[in-house]
Amino acid sequence: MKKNRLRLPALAACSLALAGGGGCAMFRASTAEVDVNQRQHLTAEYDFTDMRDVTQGLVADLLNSNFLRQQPAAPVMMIAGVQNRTQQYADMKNLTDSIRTLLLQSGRVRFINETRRAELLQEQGYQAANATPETQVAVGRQLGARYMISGSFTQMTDSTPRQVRVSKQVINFYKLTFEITDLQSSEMVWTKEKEFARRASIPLIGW
Amino acid sequence: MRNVLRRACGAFRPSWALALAAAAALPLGLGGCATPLDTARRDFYAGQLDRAERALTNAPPARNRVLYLLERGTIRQARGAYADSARDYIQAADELERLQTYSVSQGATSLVINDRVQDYTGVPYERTLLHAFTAQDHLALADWDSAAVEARRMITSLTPERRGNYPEDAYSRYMAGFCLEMIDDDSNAALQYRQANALSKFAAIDPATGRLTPKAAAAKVIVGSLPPPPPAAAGPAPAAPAPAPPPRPPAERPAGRPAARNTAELMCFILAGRVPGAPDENYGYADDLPVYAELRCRGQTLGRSHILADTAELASLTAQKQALRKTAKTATRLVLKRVIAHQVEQKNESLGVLTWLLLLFMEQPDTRQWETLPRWLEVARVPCPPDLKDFDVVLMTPGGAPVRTLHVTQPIQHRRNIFVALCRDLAPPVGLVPVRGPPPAVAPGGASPPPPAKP
Repeated sequence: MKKNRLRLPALAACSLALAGGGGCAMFRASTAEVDVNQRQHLTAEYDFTDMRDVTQGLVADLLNSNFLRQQPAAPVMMIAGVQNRTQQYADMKNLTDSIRTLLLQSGRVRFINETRRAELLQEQGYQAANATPETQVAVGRQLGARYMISGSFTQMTDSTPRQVRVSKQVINFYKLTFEITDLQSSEMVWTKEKEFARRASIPLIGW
Repeated sequence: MRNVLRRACGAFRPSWALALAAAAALPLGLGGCATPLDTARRDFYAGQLDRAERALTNAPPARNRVLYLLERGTIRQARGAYADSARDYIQAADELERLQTYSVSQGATSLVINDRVQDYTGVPYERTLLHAFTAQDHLALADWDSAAVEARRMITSLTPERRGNYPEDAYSRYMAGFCLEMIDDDSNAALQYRQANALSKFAAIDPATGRLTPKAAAAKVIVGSLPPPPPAAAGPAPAAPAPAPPPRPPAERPAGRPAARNTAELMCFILAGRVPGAPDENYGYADDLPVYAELRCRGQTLGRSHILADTAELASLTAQKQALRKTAKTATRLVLKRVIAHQVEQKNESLGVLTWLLLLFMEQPDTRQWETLPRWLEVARVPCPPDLKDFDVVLMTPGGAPVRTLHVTQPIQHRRNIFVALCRDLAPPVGLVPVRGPPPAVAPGGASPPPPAKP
């Protein structure tokens, strides 16, 4: 009897010590480097891994396309933007910036900076008034884009219906449609779709 | 040790009078202090928007986090801080997603104490209006794509899976339709307008254009649109109809859009009154609520607003749906509390009585709600000058008498030929004469600040 009495507090103390030891790391604030190439999804929603996959895939497809092969010289393009038609706040500028960077690095496409037109004109005006003639940039010599890049990003969501359950299954299907339009003829000269889907299980009961 | 405690408890036998006195002192201590939420709401309805926002700057208690964010988002929207307001609302929506997982620990605690110990998750109509109000912020910032994101979230929140059998409102449907229309998703916009039309009590909504007419007048328009009967008298065959005028050039409108939309339109979302709160809390807000508004610009009446949702009605219908579940839970809790008190009473009679009284005093109804919500959610969609810079919103009584005038200068955004404006009316506190005559200066957010309180 006495042995049992001693055993109980000892067990409790051991449990506390274990919980305390294990809990230290859990409850301590910490940071760690994450490899950007590591594939990980914490939720079923569009994330940075998807953005990288989609942009790299699209650029590879475009660089291997007949449209680009048949160009006599690197065409000048502008990005009109990708419309976010999903249920989540996704930064489409981030996506188009990545595409532009990859295409520029390939050396087979040229881009005008359509987002900085106001600043360009302001700087040209400033130079015309204040810079020495030999360093002034010439006015009216900007490149005109021949092609416009645009697209849309859509989402369809499916989830388990109302029923007795302990977790909810959600499937998110995403599609990015990417298109290049000839600004002179308004002909759509190249288009591509990228699709991906993800399933997640969300617990309906927790502590 | 156990014996020592038992002896101590046994020695301590408070009289019934002492137990009652201690129990009576509890509610005085608990109910005496106003929470930051109460302060913020009172300041909001008194027109002190900066002070109201300051009251909610500190981190909220975890269980009321969503409520803090909802109230602060509304206060910031009324102040014209649309980006901050949208951030609060989006955080609230994220938090609500997280709270879809039912907490067993909080559920168990609520069975012993009361429902207030649980995280506030709102009721279905609040969760939908949260997205409608976020969309308003995006529209005020001319961020059409983000407004459409909220439209899709609104539609999701109105699905039977999310909403259950709770009521839905025409305002959210209309808002979803309008946000989709602004990104040229016309087919889905028409679908939402059709559903808004089915839900709306006072206004008929044309699914193709989103235009509103009073329900009775709409019926007349339909009758009037029928072709006239042929003349009874015999005579020469009617002349061929004159050739139709050439179609207007499709300037500033995408292909497929009805030509009628080519004229400038003002879409004004008008929010008036306040949602009915707890009986003892009216925050000094006047009861004589205007129920519709006339929009005027440069001396001309542009048109009127139409009520698409009444939050008082939504709250009442929701309470009816919840009544049975709440009653059952309260009854279960009372039984549990009695059992606990009985167990204590068997050890120590006085302590048992004290426990029972304490548990009874903790039995408080969960009256938490989004109290800065307006009562009337209205929409006015009227023709307007193509160079619209400002306009007046004249709030009217049901009898057609003007109550006050709000001069709106911002936010007025536009895409193509549709102007979008937002107007929140905060009525003057009780006892003050409503503003009449020349319109006062407008606060960002569209609502005129009420006159300073009289001493």
